[in-house]
Amino acid sequence: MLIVLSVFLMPICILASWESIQKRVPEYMAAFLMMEAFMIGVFAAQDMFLFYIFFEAGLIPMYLIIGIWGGADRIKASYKFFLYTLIGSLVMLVAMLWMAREAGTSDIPTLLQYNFPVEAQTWLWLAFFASFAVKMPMWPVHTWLPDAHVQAPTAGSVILAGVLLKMGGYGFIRFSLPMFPEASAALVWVVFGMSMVAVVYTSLVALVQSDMKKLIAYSSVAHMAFVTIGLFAFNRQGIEGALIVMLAHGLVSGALFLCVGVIYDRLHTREIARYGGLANNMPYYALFFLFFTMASVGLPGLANFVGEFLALVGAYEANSWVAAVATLGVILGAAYMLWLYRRVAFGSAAGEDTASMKDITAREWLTLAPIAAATIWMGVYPESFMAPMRNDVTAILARIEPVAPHGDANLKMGDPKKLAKTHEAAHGEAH
Amino acid sequence: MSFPILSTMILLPIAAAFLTIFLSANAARWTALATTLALFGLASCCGRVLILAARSGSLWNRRRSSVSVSLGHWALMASP
Repeated sequence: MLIVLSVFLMPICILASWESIQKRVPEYMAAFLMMEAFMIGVFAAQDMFLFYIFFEAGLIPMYLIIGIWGGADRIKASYKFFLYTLIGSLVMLVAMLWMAREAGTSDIPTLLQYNFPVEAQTWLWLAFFASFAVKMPMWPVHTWLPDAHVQAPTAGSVILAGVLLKMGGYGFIRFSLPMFPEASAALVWVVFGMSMVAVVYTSLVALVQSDMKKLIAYSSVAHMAFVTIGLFAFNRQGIEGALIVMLAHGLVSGALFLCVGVIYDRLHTREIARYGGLANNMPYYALFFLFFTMASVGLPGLANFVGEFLALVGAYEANSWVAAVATLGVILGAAYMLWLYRRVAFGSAAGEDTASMKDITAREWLTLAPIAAATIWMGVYPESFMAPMRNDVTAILARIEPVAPHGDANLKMGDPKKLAKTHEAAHGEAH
Repeated sequence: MSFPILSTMILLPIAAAFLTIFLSANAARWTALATTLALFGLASCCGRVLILAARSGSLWNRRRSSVSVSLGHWALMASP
């Protein structure tokens, strides 16, 4: 599904760059095409080292995209992006070398059946975590993301939010959980702790942003915390929810960055205060922006709702406190996104240039409409997206369920008969 | 299915990337768009293959069987 997401977003990125990129266009297009090849490679690789090569190779085109076609502070942002992700990945490479030596193979399906010694699992898990936590990104190693988003061109932000962040989540589900189940269970508190801080802290930081892209970047960190919470809930609802959040966030945050790009192309600023009243002169734009804002806050019937709901159900089964804090993140998410929309689309225009901005063009329609259709599809009939994952999730659960930590909610979902019996017993006792 | 669809999906954009460097700006845009749309079409086919494989229970245990160019024994797509 992540391959499909990558190739779905890429033509949209090319269309989004059609007029906004005028410098070194052939090189820009080449960088995006290389990026696409590496993204497919990451999600398709059946060999650990091949995965690593594609995982690292993907840094190069994105580094160039930010560094050459980015904003004023692009060099600093691209260095920060490159160094953060590279340093984490080097630790993972050492772990991979040890694993290949221990298991005698780098074949991923074989490694998924291999039982690494429990004492070694902790170190291996931490090594992989160093890489995937930066890539997700998780608090406190998320600081490269807002800078990278702000400096990247629109299409770069779409791919960064839409696909590159998902490589971290994919890594957790491909390597950390099924290959090191005991370590995952023992260190689940680390993931939950960091995710809870991320949900609340980055949501609060998003509330005070004056730059639209930075706000959406911080919201991405909060949304990705839902992914980690769901994955490490050690149950089906949590993992399936996390996977759906990954797909939904790929679509919705990508679309939100496109929406920012549409008005940035006209006014060349991302300052929220420079906009206002766009619903008057850009009604179709305001409609799309509202649609994706609603999707981002988890409106039922749209993509994010399904994933967040399942992830929260899974989290509640695992730890009710984590679920409670994550729910607070949903409320804060609604607050900063709706406030952003109000300031941009409603009220009076900040200036004459804002009031005279023209509505979206046919090319911009072509970039936003397919994502809107996919968002509705995922929200109304998520089974299309969940069915292909089900066997994978079952295989992962077979590895992790025997070591799953006990939840504090004492709640087993989907067993109404037991509930009825308990109710009858209680009723009988009362009589 | 013996066609190495994922290998093709990796090699096609790399080949197109090398091609675009030697093209004009407008030709590079159209080449990139055509390539990415072709890849989306291929992925739709691949998606169906993956769904079928998932339903038959063989997705997770896919074995490497098809090899593209010089990737050695590292195959990227196996028959479901």
